[in-house]
Amino acid sequence: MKTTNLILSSFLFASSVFASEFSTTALIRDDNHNPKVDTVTLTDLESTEAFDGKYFKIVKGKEETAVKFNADEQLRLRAATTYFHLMKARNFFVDVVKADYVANFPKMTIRIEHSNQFSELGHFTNDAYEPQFNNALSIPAGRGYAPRNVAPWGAEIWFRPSKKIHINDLKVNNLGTQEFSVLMASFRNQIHMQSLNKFLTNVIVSVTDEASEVKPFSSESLIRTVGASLMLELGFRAVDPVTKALSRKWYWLDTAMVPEIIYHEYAHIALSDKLVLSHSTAIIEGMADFFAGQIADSPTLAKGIKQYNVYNGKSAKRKQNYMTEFEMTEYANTDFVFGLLWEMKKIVGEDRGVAFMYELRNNLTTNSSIRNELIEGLLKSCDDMCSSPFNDRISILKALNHKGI
Amino acid sequence: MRALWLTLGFVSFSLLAQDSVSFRNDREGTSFYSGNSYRRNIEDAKRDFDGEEILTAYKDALRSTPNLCVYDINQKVRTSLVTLNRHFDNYEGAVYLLREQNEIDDVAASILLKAHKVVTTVVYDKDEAKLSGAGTGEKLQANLKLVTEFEKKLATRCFDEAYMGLFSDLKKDDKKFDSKNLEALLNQARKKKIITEALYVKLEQARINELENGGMTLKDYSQKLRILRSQFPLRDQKERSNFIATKADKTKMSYRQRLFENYSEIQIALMADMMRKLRRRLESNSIEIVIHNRDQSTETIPLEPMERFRFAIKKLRSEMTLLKLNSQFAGRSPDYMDLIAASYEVSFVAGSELEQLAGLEDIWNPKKTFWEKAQVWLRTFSSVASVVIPPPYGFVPTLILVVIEATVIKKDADPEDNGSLF
Repeated sequence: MKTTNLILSSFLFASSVFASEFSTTALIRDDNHNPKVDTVTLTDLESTEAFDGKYFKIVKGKEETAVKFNADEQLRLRAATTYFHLMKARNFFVDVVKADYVANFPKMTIRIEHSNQFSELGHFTNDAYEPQFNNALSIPAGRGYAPRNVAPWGAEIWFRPSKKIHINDLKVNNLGTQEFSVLMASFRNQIHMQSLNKFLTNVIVSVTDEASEVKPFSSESLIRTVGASLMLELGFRAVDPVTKALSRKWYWLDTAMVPEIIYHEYAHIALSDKLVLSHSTAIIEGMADFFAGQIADSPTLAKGIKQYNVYNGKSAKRKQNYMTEFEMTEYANTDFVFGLLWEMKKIVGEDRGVAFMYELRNNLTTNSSIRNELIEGLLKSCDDMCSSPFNDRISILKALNHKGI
Repeated sequence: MRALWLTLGFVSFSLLAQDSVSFRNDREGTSFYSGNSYRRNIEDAKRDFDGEEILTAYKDALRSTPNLCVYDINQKVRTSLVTLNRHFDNYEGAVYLLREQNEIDDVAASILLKAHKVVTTVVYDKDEAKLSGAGTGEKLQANLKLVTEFEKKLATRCFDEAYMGLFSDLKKDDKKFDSKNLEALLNQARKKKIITEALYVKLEQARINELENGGMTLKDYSQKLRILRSQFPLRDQKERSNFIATKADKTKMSYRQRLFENYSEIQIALMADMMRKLRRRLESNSIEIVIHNRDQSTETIPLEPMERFRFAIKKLRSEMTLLKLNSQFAGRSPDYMDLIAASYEVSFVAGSELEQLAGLEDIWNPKKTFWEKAQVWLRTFSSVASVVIPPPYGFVPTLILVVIEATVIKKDADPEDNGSLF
């Protein structure tokens, strides 16, 4: 027993000696959520010369040594920004959510500027495989593969390098563009119907009232009617190419420089005791978005930071009805679940919303669907945690019904 | 079958139960009579008497009126209070104060106030030229005889019951006999001086207030209350609901007043049972459709959570429609809010849950927003405008309409489009 105490005392002494703070610049959000590079204090560092702390070690690519404080400015800024926001996210889960799983989570290696793909066996794929850019991912811990000298690894977060990509090379589900197309189609259909109405009215007037000067079959009138319809049709057909021509041509995303993406990825780790990091689903992404929003104290994620992100970002306030497509992996990153959970938090109460959502993960798995397990989970969590379970259940069900689920 | 057992239970109970009568408030929160318009009367009553004096007068009157005739009770209370303060002329204030002190509830208060309104209705002189339909010859004589016998009825019955008895007797031989005919008949009786002026006024007051249409008496209310409290003891004696005492749509009554005014205790129990089922279904974590195939196999289809929710609501709607086939309701379909009021009355749902349950009506009867209401007019005007406005501006109204539809008017998604069964 005495030996144990001695060891523990020695460990604590060593921690207090080595744990230190370091002031540096990093990208943060100001009170209005605008991005700015400002001086921050990095805490819980174990190293006095590198981004190596009690909970996180920031490395470049496949390296295992931490990025030095005196590294290249762009690398240092990314390392500092990542470390600062990861600490903020961790503190949120430990202090606000009271997540023991997070408090006891082993030190993580965070890879920035890392373009290798993930391999469940080899940790990283060979450099020859297609390098990855403009995204971030959280990977589960692996056992390694001794025959190939692959050491075991813990859960990690990888931030890819930013790279300009032409919009034509992207495969995105742009719901905003789809909505605009529907609007234009509605306008075009109504105008065509209006022209037909007008033409038929004129025909009837010309037949029933010979004294009238309406001549729908005159060449002038026909040219005007047909011409107007043709011009409208031409305009409608030209919308897509014109929009494409006027819209942004290049896309890039520097994930290590966007605070909410850092929170989102850390949230994946914090929730990984139940939502295992196997693949991307609407549930796992929506839950991570929710906690990212809570940490950022904002219903919008990755917005207003054009220098590092030209992607639309996400908004919990966007009004959208449920579509079965949201259950598919291709749509896992839409903000439907994010908005839904944000609304649910208001129903169960702002004061208990975060704890509620953390409890919710106990009733979910990575493969849960929105329309089944997520709703069952919300109802079950409400039974356990809502102040007025029956009333809150009804409110939840009404809100979900309103969303067309 | 359930209704039969309920009926038998209630009948046998009503024969046995003879508790001391009380109309103390045990369900309502803030009174229906607590608004600013009632406040002044309450303050006046407080100025004229201390609360105990009014309470004592009321309790004495209640105790000394075993038949619970509200006209007698009102008279006794008024007399007692006038004895204490000869300038007293604020009976409404005294009733509101009794309600404020929870000595009576809103339902009892409304009965007291209605009776008070009857006896204080001013009867104006008639334009005899406009009065007709009293009858002639033997029929008139027979009707006048019935009117003269009214005081005999009054000796053994409460005023409203005696009046309804008179009206019923007058209708026996003439199904078309109505209030206008009675007005002419009473005028004849008055002219012939076969009834006193005071009785003429009383009967006219009853006629003007349409007492012939009936309405709940204190005795009725007492019986309903006694049976319901015995059959369905309150789960929480201290529970009160403000919601139940708020004004019901398109009436001048609260939800609870409307409930007791319009439904019997058996009807209330049946309606409450429907809400109990709804509540259970809403709380259920599993609802399945089981198909029994002809080859003896079965197929079970579990409903998704939102399907369960919408199923519960659709089932309630179906049961509400079918309720009118129940002999107890005789073709009448109760309002959803009546079901809610009934379920609270018998403690099947808590007061704190009423508002949330009431909100479910939005699912099948959603409230229309301003823009949704305006949409009809917008469409009409834009259609006309698109024809009338000369080119090249004819597209403008259509464009405006499309923009409004796309930005302001929110279209609710149809869950069945997403593969939901319900």
